[in-house]
Amino acid sequence: MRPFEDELRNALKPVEPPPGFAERVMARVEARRTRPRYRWAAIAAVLLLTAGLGYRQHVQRQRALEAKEQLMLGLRIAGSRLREIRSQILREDLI
Amino acid sequence: MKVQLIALLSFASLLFGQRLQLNLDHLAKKAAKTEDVNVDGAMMQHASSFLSDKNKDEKSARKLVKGMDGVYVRSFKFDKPGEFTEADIDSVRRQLQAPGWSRMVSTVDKKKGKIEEVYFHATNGKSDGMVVLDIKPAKFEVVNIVGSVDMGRLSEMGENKKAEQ
Repeated sequence: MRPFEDELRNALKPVEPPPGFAERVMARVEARRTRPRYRWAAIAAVLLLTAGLGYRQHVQRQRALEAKEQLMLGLRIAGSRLREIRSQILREDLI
Repeated sequence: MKVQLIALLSFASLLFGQRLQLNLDHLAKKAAKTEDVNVDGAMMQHASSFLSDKNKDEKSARKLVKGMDGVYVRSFKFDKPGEFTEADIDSVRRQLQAPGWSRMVSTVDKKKGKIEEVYFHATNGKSDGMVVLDIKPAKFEVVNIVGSVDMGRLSEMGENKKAEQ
């Protein structure tokens, strides 16, 4: 029993913290307290970036759709004129 | 590098040659209705990714644009005749006298004051540009396509829709 009691006494013996221990603990606590600010800033930055990319994609899509409308209009006008000219030529051939 | 640059510039000048300079803005002020289409090669490629295979016209357009580098339309419809001059028509025709261009179709109806002309541009025997000139007493329209044109497919465009008159 004796060695066990000695071991226990040794283990429970008060130990002096190394110099600066309390300051280091307080510094870490302070750092943890300020971390959420960075977290919110990071979340806001990600949200802004996502919104920016989304908007850019939306603008690009709108431009492409406008270009498509223009293209279809141009091709339809060209097609329509060619049909008109063809029928005009056919009419002249018949006369 | 030099050779590539020269080749690129020559190609660009060829494309530029097929594209007309349509300085007709003065007609826009007098026109009751204008259609202005300016789709260059980059826009065309961008637009073609939004062409649907479910729509007949769009499906045809997807195939048509593969050989095209631009579609340009200037169309002016006026309330009354005489809003444009012979000089306006000549400003377009003059450009079509440049080497490479040839008039394939010309129909003139003097009574009705109608002129319809179709020009093609060819490089090394290969067609790579087209212009349709459609003149009526109260209408002035130029269609300019840069690049190769599948005439059969193009003339089917808008067949099912109400054609632009």
